[in-house]
Amino acid sequence: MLNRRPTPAPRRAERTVRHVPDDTAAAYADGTLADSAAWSVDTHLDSCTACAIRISALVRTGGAGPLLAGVREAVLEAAAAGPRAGRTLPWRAALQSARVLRPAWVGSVLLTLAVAVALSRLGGAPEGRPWLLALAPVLPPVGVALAYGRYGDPAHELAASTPSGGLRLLLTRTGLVLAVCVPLLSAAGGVLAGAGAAVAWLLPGLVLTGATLALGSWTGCHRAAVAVTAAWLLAVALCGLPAVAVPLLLSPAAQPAWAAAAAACACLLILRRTAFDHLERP
Amino acid sequence: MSHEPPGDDALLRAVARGDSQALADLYDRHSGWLHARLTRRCSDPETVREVLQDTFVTAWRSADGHGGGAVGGWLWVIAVRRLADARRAAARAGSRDLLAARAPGTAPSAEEDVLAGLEYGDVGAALDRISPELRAVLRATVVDGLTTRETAHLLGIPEGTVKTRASRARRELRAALVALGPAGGAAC
Repeated sequence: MLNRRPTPAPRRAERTVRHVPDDTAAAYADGTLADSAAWSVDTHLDSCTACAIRISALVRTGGAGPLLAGVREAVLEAAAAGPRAGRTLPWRAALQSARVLRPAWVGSVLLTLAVAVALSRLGGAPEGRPWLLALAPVLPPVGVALAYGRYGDPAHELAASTPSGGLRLLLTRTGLVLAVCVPLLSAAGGVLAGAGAAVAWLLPGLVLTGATLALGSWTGCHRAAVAVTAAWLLAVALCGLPAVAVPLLLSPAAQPAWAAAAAACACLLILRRTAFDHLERP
Repeated sequence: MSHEPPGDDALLRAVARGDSQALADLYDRHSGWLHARLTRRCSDPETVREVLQDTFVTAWRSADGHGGGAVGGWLWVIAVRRLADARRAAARAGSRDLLAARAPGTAPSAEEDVLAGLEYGDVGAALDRISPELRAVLRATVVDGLTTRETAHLLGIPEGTVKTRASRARRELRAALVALGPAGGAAC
């Protein structure tokens, strides 16, 4: 990414013009050099450390000296405070990124659980369980959409322009969302319906999450999450509401199909991985 | 003429290992010219300061992502993209006044010719003849290696305008070169 810049093979300019002459360097440093000459210096500095050192020293002794000293201090301070990304402890990074989980989303997960449990209390276990299982698969995609991208993440522009942004960051956050969803929903499902049914929503939930990520490579995560959620709810409605749809869509017989769909989403995501290296369109 | 103690690559490897003294050395080597180069592209000193700081903090964090190639060019790519991002954020926030230079349009195909010709003065003189806003587009795309989109962000104009101004810049540059041509009409 960062070294995408075209740094072509030796150009004529580099062969014949050895280094920046002293008077040109001085004019460049104080900003008085004419445009076309400055462009030559620009391109030369891309690859010549010796001239870079000379001109940097000239700039430092000029009017920009105090500013450069201040930035130097700030940079070293930032370096001392924040460990380099590569050396960050995994659990620490996870804790830091946990801040992107929206309270609203965590609240909606808890609300779903509460409603499902309340329904089962009021009308007996058969009432709450289908609703919980029907809503559970869409909670991860919604969480992902809120945790990544233009609308969900305030630091989105920063994230998209750093080398570790893009797909890697998106997958980290997806993992975080799943880490919150899976235990909570499985535990609630277990309480309501027993261990076997508790995990029936897992594969569909993964598929919907994967579909959101894959579709999001074209449309952005938020739109993809809306589309995927709508499609799932429509499917549930068409099958005749949760009481009928859940046994149908989440039956053990349907699980291999969900597994195949999950694999397809993963392949698509790998093919589209570079799409996340750029800012989402508004 | 050129004495380069440890060499930029070695310095950057040390930075990648987390050596903050190496970061300080890298900063001393490159911050000055980066500042001068950024200042030519952005008249707001505060933005330049932030971009410069961001650039070295980014270099510290992602030094191990440097895939070879000149370190100066690598730093500049970080810096100019940060500048484009900063302009874009500023434009969004409504501070259009930051967008001093308004020029789009570049012809990628003219790139090598322009770079190769810079040393001879003919292209230099031709560049001086075209309008400043077209020159700003050429600089962003040719010298700084930005994409159409990044150029649009840097200069605060729509991508479509960048494209049309790019082709205009190409035409004007060509016309200026023809007018300057030592042999008048050397072609044919």
